[in-house]
Amino acid sequence: MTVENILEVNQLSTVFHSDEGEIPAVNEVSFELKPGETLGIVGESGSGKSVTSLSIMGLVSKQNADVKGSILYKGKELTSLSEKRMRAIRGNEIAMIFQEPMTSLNPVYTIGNQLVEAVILHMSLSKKEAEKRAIDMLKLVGIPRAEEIMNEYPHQLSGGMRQRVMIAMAMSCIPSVLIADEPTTALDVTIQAQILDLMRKLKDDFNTSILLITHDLGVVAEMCDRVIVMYAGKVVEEADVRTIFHDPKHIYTKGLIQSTPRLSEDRDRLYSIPGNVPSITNMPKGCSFAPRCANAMDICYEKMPALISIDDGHKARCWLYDEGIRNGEGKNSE
Amino acid sequence: MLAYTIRRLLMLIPVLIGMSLLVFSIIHLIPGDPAKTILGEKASPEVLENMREELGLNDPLLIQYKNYMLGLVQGDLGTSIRTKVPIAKEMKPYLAGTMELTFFAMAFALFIGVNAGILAAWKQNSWFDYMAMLIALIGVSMPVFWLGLMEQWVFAQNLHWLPSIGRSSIINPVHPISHFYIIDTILVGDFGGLLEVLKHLILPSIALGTIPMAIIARMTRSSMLEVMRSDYIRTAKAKGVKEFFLVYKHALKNAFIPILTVVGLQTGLLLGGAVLTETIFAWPGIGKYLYDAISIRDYPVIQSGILIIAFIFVMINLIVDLLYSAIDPRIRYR
Repeated sequence: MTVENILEVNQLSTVFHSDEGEIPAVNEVSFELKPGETLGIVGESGSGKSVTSLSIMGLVSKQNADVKGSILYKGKELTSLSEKRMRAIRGNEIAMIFQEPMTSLNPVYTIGNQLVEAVILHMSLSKKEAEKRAIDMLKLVGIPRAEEIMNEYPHQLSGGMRQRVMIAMAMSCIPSVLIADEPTTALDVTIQAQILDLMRKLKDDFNTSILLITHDLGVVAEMCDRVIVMYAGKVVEEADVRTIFHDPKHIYTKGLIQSTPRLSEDRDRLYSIPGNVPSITNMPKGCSFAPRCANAMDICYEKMPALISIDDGHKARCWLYDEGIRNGEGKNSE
Repeated sequence: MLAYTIRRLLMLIPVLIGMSLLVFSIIHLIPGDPAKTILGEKASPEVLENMREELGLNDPLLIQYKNYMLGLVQGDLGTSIRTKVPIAKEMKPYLAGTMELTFFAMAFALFIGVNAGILAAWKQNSWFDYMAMLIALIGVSMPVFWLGLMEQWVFAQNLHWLPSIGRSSIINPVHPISHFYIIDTILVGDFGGLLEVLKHLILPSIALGTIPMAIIARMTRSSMLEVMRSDYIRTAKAKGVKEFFLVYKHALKNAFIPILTVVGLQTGLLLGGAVLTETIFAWPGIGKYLYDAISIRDYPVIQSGILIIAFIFVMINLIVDLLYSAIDPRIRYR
């Protein structure tokens, strides 16, 4: 553990038990988060990015799932903490905001009630002081008429406003890490930009590290310092944000970037990656991306490649970058 | 809200007029001569004629209805054929008896039912869950008369813990003021009497409350299970809320709407008189009062009883509707 990492995830695997058998939603995922850094986790639906974040928060039900591997927060192992100690970290040191601002706030309690609850849980403040702090937070996230909003219910606010409230709630105890799970996906584009601006501003003000989970490469380009790309529960590429966009190595990352519409190019049809994400209960042998990969070789159907270091901080999980394969025998099989 | 309540109360008028029409026609829908039905085939013509005169059956139909309605709006429900006492006066103690019993039966059903349902949902698939749902299943399928008799046999006959019949002890009768014995004993400061009254309430309340309790427990469980899966519960968890508050604060209020619906319906049913329970426990309630009236064909009493029960049912529905909006701010009546 290097001191500069605030969060270090090592070989994290989350396996759900279901009637159809074991479902490995997250498979040996490793990454680290530095103070003040924004790390993006990118992937399609079902790639395991949300489960990764829930596993870090300890919000995966222990009855239905096994979480293996290690999650170090400021050097503390989170996976072995008691539920009580974990509660003291949740919302206090690691906070989280979710995709659905429409359903993420409790509909039968006022905004004020829910904000004050978050404050009182972790800060030893009186009710009055907590209310004041809640109002301050609402003002900080740019909500007009903060005092009145305190007495309103979630359904009286717009989606953007609710997401601001969620952010105010998450930031109210000044967490060191903010996990944002698709925070702008359900919002209008104009509101998206405002929310991203707000998150960036708060990050700078409080020096909070952000783990940003998204499928939107535009959001990644706007927000992140570094990016990890996930596919079928595994990390397939990791690099800083410039490298990801200018020099992607994994075919999947390339495909993702190509399938983003761009105004500067004149194309009739948008590129799409052929095929579908394999069913998580029925993973192909070898590289899980092989059936959709244009460069697939024989070995790709045999063995899962390791995450291979290409450059400083740039890794890709692809046989193409394996020393042995590159030096000879690996010829394209198709 | 106030406007809504007033409008709902005004809407009661057509409902009650409809009910009164229905009730009024009962006596005219009996095939043959109502007086003969009441007095029997062997009654002499003079007696029959007196009865017809007493019931006003010799007037034209419209005049009869007019007289009946005029009486109703003045609170005159007619006179009992059997006792020659005005029904409104005669029914009052019975009604109070049923209300007192219903209150305690529902309090028992709500307290046990809601908590059992919550715990079963909280510890889903645990032995407590299975046991609670098994007991609930037995509870809904248990014949009330059998349960009542068993209670009497065990707790009154064998153990001598509790009295088996009546509303208060015969040696030290309650002096009726409001006819709610709990209130009456408190009013005169007779706490020994109060204890006696409470003891008399226990067995019939449990007998009467068991079916509603089982229904409420099952409803609470399924409603809670649904709510516990919602996004705002996940948000609350991510804030670090303790599981107890998660369940009793965040989830319960949301899960309460369907529970309230069941409670309203069951209360209405119980207030309509629980003939079986009241008979077994010799409880002077509206069910027993009506049952006696039916068995001697005391038509004015039957008519008034139906009208009163319908009125209570409609009022409870109104109260439940108003409570909905108190629980869930999204429900607003205009």
